[in-house]
Amino acid sequence: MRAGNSTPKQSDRPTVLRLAGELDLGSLDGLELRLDEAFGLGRPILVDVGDCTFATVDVLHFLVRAARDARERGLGFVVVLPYSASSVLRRLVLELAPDLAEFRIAPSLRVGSALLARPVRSAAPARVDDVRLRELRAMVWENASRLEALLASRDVLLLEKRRTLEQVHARRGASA
Amino acid sequence: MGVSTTELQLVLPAVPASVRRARNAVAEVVDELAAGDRVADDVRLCVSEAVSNVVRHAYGGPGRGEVEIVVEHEGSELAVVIRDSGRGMARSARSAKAGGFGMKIIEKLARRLTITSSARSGTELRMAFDLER
Repeated sequence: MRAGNSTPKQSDRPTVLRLAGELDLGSLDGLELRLDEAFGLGRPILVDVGDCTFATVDVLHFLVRAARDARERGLGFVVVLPYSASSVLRRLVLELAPDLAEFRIAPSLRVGSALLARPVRSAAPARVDDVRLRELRAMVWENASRLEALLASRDVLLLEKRRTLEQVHARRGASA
Repeated sequence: MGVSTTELQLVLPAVPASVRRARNAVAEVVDELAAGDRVADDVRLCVSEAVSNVVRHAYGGPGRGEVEIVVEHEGSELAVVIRDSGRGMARSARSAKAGGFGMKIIEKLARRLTITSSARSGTELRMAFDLER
């Protein structure tokens, strides 16, 4: 068992464990297997929950155990929770059980990789003890999520506008 | 006082796979009642946590009994009942403080939560949700 400070080597390319779909008590055996495989590679781990559409507290407990196991093996561990992740996931991690979610989170694989390069403190490295800090973190995710949704809507509108203009030009060209 | 309608009554084995089956069955009812996404998410999460608790704790291990899921609808209120005939829940374990995070979440999300439990007849969790929230 290894604990204490550890700085993952910069050359350690992380193993990305992508979780998708609805996850609950019935998913745990499969998740444990995949985590064991990831640990077997001996590299830092990024768990990407961006395609996960639903999760229960059992899945949070799984992530907490995984973070603890990674720490004991001296491996970096970050959960990637994109701003665009399902609202159930965001609420579960950030609002409903933030005191349970004792692992580092990042909004993207790029930020997650950067976090992995930072030293991991011993004991409870990811714990944000202060209630206010948790609230602020939840607000950051909520606002960024809204911003991403707005930007996506804007992109759709711009595309539609462009198509309409192209159709108008095509009609004008045909009638000229 | 309005009339309560039973929208769903389902008995499943108390095994991990039943968590998803119960959630999906209740979600169909909630969709038909045209509840908002937020309420639907809350109900799905609470049902999942409650059924998970039955699977884990009611019978001393998975696959040793059954879990009953009942959904009732009255006006703007949806009541979801999760019932087992297991070994009951100790009084000290019924509050969110003593119980696990699953119970904490149910207490946060449900408008009302009533727990009836005895070692002879098992446990009934009755959760009420406001559909118009």
